[in-house]
Amino acid sequence: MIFVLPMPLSLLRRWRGTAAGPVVTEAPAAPAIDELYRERRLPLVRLAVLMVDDLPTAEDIVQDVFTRLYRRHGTGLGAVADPNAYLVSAVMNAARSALRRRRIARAYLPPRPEPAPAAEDEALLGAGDRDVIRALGRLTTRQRQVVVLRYWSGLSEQEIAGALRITAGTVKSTAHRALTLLRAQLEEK
Amino acid sequence: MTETDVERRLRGALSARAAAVTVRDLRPAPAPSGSARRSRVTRWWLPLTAGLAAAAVSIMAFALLRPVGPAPAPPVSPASPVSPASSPAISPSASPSASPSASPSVSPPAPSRSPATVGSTPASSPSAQTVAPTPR
Repeated sequence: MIFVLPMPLSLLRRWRGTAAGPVVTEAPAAPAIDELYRERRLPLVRLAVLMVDDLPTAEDIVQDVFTRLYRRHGTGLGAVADPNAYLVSAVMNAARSALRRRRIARAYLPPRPEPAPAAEDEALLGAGDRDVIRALGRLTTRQRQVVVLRYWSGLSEQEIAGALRITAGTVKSTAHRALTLLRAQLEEK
Repeated sequence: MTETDVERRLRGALSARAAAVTVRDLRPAPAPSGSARRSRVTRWWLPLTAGLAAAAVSIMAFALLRPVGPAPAPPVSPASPVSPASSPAISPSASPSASPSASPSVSPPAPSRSPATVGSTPASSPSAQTVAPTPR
């Protein structure tokens, strides 16, 4: 009587590797996800920074997104139709979750004094830019997403709608409302 | 302030904020395929180990908590008679006309008997003679 036990794939692969013996192996090509990670990590961290305005949180968001992508699709990414669009959408969703968690935490914690901006930011950003970034932080998360994707990523309304899973009409109205609020806030200065 | 001006300022501010983040600012992080591979390989045995541990705990608990003493006695049947006067064993002799070879299964109904009747004819009962000790 022969029992066939379900052997884990990892063991099966390892067994096959040892059974094949020493063979001449070519240098394995770098997995597609590694190349994607090298190419897209910095732009995605910048995108996340524009959303959450915090570099460590932005790095965590991007790393989590890549890790989830790898666990779901492996290294090949053959099942992902457009990895870039997938990553942008995932980063936006993760940033939205981070902002929601931050909002909930602020509701339960005593208010803290506003941290002083870093010296590098002071040097790199002018006063006008800081005003714009500060006004951007007062928008809703959805408005901020639309503004960042439209004016920094340069996506069209259709692409923004696909990334955020909303309609193009919603993108248009959200952008219009965001610009109106920004104009009002910047004119107050 | 026109909308174009707002858009221009917005583009400039977003570009300046994004340009403030460079490669040197990022912490060194490995590619996801390198960092997640180990956990994926070594995770297949976790459910198996958890199942074995649960089974071992169940067996140990059953072995330790099982009652060790004798099995409890079965419950007493509620219809057992208490007084010898109403015993079914005497019932065949309740009537004087019954023969000693009569089967006890053909007993008359118990409510019809009275202790006085039974006590009046003790000698007519064959079972009473059998049970009584004989002096030697």
